[in-house]
Amino acid sequence: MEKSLMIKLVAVIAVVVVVAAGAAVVLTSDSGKDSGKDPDSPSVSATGGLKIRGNVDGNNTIDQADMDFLLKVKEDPSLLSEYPYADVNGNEVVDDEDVAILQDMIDRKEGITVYVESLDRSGNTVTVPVGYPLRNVVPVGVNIQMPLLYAGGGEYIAGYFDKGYTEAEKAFSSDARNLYGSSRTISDGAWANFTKLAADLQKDGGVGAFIIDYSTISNITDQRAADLSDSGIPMISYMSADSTIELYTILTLSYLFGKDTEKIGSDYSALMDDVLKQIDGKLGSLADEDKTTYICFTMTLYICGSESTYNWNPSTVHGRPYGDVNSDFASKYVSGSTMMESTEALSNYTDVGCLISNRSSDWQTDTRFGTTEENIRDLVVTTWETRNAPDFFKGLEDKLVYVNNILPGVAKLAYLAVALYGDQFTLEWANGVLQDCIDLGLVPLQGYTIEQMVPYIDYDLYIKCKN
Amino acid sequence: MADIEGGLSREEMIRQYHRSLVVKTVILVVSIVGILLFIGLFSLSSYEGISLRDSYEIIWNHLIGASYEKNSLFWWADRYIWNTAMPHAVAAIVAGAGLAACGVLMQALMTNPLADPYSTGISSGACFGAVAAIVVGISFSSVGGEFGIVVNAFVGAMVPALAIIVLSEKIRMTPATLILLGTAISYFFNSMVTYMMITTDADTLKSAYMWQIGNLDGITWSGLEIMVPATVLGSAFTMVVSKKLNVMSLGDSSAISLGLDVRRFRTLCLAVMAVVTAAIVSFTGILGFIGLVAPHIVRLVAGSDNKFVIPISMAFGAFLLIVSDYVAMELANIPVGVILSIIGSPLFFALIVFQSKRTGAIY
Repeated sequence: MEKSLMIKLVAVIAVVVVVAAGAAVVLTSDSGKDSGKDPDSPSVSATGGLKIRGNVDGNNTIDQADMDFLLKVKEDPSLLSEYPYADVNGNEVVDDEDVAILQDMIDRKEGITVYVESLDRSGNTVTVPVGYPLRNVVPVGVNIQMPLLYAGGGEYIAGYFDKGYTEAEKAFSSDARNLYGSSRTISDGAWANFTKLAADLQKDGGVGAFIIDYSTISNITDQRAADLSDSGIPMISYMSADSTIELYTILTLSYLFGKDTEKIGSDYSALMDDVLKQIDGKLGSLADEDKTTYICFTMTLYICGSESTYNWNPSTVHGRPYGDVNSDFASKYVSGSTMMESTEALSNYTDVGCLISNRSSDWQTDTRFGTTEENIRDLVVTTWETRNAPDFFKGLEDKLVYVNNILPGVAKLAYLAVALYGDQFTLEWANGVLQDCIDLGLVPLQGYTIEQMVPYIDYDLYIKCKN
Repeated sequence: MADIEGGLSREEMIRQYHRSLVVKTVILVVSIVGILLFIGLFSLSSYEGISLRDSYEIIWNHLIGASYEKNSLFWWADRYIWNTAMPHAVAAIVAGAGLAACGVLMQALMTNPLADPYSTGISSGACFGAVAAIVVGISFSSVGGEFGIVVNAFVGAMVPALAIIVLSEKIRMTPATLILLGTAISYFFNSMVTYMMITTDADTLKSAYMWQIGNLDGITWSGLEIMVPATVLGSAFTMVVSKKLNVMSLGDSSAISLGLDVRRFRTLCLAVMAVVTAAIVSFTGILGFIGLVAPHIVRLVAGSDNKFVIPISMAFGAFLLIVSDYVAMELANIPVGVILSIIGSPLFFALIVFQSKRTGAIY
């Protein structure tokens, strides 16, 4: 072979090797990167919990007090930065038009347009005009479907792309049309089904809103966004997996659905306030070094990176992400979630305080194989032993807990408080919080017992059920 | 009149030639009519209130600039047809035709019936590029988002293609050498892809896997701005060199003795094939099977003259892909790559068995 040919051949191989080596370096240093599914924590502004313009005083209800504040802002526009929701229609001016809209809102007048704060496709906060009361909604993503049901909006669902929980999502309207998407994907065919639904609903006021969990926002391509925009269908989007955001999702939707559901939102908000006060009262003064550290998991064996939204709830109850105290873990698990490849994956992190597995499980009603208790026993043991989990958590079993991810956020926080600070909070207390949710009348929980919801599994329960 | 060698009279030969022409014309016409029919079916697949005639009417009205009442059934149908169904259908036609043309090209160049557009490792390179973007966010360009995956896939596809083209200029590159090099490159990239996929979460894994299977979902008119010119020019080139491909099919020695600069011609064809295939798969993912099977099916019923095989394979490839895509869309959420094989495999199997029984071994 000629010398020049040899040189070129070596050069080609070198290029391939360099590309491969570069990829390998990136892979080993950041193997859990999640291709944008955990975007940079976009956030809707912190004005109260009710994300409706007109909630001027931030007390999560629209009433005369809001009008009083609005009039003050109208007199003195410099107050607008303090009370941004006084600009009811979001046009950056507080004038008679805002007064008129707010009066209609206070009167709960039907057929008006209200202005909702939401995330746009880029994660920026935007104001979206929505018809009141809200009807004919199409939700996308279980993280927002459950809050929508908790807000009492099941009967207003006109279509859905996926329904994964037969029992928990039973409150979907029986007329809701299956658009045949999947849990995270809207195919072209599914979108065509949505547009057909929109056309069919034209006589009934059209689709009231397209309500999407922000983690699935990549389904809204430029073209689909143009479809929504051109047809006048508002898109409401929140990152509802986090319990705090779930709260204002419930508050906002329960207000939008009208007078009958508004009380659900305010009652739920009051319960959340109460539970958080109890948690903060006992744990609020904890120094960082005294906080229980935790690692979150999803789908049994996937370790959540520090940027994963799954870390938000344990942090709310004063847990400390394990990455804060272990730089090796922090650098290895950054965004998204990474599957444990070996049983040794956790061997260097045995000093962690708690391992929290975020699992979603439908309410249990199947009595074909015996009593409900037996089914729960089967479920607990099966859940614990899914995909050889015991091997991966060997030696750390007493630190591992499962929290049902489709529970109301306030109940999730209560169970997490038990998991992280078992000496301060009891399981009975957390069960009491869930019972309060049932008593509030949250529709998806009606007719079920706490046991049927299998809200919390720890090692003691597992051993008890197994034996 | 005297019998000609082989026992066929002149009249019988003429009759056979005419019969063969009729068969070729029928396949071509059936494929083209089928494509036109499925464009309409595509358009109405999700609109029960719209007839096939309405679909064509909406397409025509859109072309002449007519509009409908906002949010009405026809308003939505018009948007769906023009923004989703038509790019979908055109992508199916272009990808099917382009991959089939490249399949004919590769099978002639390699004198190997198992060759297809992916034999040089293009698919593995494209897959590496796309999976690198999806799983670990590596970008080979400054382009981000969905189009970043496309650019990554294109660049990834061109790496093995360029490596082989450079090598083919410098070393004695027989068809067997080409295929073996392609296999080596494929294994290399596949190992990288496998490593990336086993270290990621289930959702990302699904996205990466779906890309590999091949899917026409989400293709827009802007995507076709690259795919269409590449395929049209590549296919035109393939048709122009069809006679030379016939010569190549005889083997390198025969082609050289007939005055063809085999090495240069093969390099040129490989370059064209690489660009066309990369332009297609970077948008659609790996649509397997079609580049291998469409030319074979056409050869089985229409003979092996590439002058006919190329255009008929293109029409048939386009027809096969649009039918598969329609079925995939009707069944909801099943990738077209899966349906392509489900429809094409039994057809291919039956044809081979039928022809082998009729005429003996066919390869």
